[in-house]
Amino acid sequence: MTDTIRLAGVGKTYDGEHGPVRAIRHVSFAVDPGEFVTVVGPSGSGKSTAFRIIAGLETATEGAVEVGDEPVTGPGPDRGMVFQDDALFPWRTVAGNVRYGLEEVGPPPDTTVGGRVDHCLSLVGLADAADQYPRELSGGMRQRAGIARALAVDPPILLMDEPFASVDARTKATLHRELLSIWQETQKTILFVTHDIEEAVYLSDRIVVFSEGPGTVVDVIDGPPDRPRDKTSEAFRETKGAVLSYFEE
Amino acid sequence: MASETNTTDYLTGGGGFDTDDARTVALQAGALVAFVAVWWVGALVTSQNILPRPPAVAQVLVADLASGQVFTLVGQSLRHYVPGLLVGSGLGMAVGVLVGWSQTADNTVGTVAQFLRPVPPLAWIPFAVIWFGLTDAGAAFIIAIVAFWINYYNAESGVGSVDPALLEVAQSLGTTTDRRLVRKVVLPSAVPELFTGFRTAAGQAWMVMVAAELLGVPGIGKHLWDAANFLQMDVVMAYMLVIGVLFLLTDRLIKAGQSRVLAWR
Repeated sequence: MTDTIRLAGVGKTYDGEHGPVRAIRHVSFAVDPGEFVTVVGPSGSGKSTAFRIIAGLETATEGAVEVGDEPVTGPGPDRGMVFQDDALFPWRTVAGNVRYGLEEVGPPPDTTVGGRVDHCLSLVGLADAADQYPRELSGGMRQRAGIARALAVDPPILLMDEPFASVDARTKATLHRELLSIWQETQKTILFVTHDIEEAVYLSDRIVVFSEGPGTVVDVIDGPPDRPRDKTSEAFRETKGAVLSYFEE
Repeated sequence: MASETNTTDYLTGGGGFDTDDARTVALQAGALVAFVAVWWVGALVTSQNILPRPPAVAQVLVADLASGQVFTLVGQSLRHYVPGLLVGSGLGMAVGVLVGWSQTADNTVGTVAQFLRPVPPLAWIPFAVIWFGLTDAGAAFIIAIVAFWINYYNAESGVGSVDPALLEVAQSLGTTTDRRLVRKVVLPSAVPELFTGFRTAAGQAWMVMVAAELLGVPGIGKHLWDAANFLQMDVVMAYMLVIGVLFLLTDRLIKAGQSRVLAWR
């Protein structure tokens, strides 16, 4: 398989106002094809820095980052991105946003642009909102549109940086179920960043736990064995407790 | 008592939007009437050469509208207003986008721009005369300079305020070249600022047109100056009003285009 994410000894030091600032150090972990892996950590743990390095938006100052056995040199259509701030193009309709990547790299084999847009919109339940502008949508719908846009060019990997941090709890629960069903249907590799431990335990095959800054991986914990997950089960509570133990003084 | 309360409600706008709209219209009409009244009183206590009376001005307007002179003059002015505004705005937007996007362009072209910016547009009139003579092109040149700077700064700031996250998303979706990023992300997101610049320039261009025609290029401005030389202040006032109306028409037209194009906002 060619869509494995691999970080080996990755570090990042910024030039701060008062000398160099180390955001992350010695970060090593890997994500297997088709896996759903979440990076959790307190704010300031550098988990977003790690995300941006994998996305190719920033370069590591130490170590190696590979996606599909190739070193990461910049952002690209092999890694779809979804942000907390949805970052939809406000001048494009929902369908126009989903179409963007298809205009740039063309539709996936055996599909048309129009067919692909329709398919991705119905995948996230936005078929009826195709002609609306982002400002007309609720927070949850905007995140769905962002996911559809990222999926349109059929990237093997989906990178998601706190995508549900600013939606309400009920919408969040719905989006979790939808994301899992999209993941199962499309077989994507998902790397998800969050500070919400319950979210991480609910979604992930494996949870990469970051320490406080300069962030590094303190543990990698397997998610509960069952799917769909029962938040009241013993396994769920145990996994949650294991992750939580790293954040208690 | 009950009926009195209702009346009070009605007067304070408790009746809803209709009442508010009526109130707005009444205030606007009242303000215009008061303006003309103050003007009229002022004209009565001074001489016709200092402040012409409203009926005299109205007479000029009616006569010149009937003879078609107003339209002839507007047509003459448009011959340099339109090209000056379009060429100046186009160049201003192009250079502003370039300087806003490219650090190299900012360091080179942007530096030169900062030197030229403080020059008042009317200071270019001598060069306009030497380079273009007393022609439409000369007046258009002055108008273009005004339009250039307004559009330049709006374009530059519009490009500078593009959300970096949108550029990152575009790159992750396969936009690789700078040129394509500008076309697909930077320009569309700067359209509101580009519009604001163009609209402001279109208004300012009417203002500067009067001065630009000082050179002797035929149009409303020159007509106004000629009348002033003969102390025909009623004619001066009449064409001041014509320019005001042209300003409003242009502004409304561009505003209408703006809300169509920017429906996504």
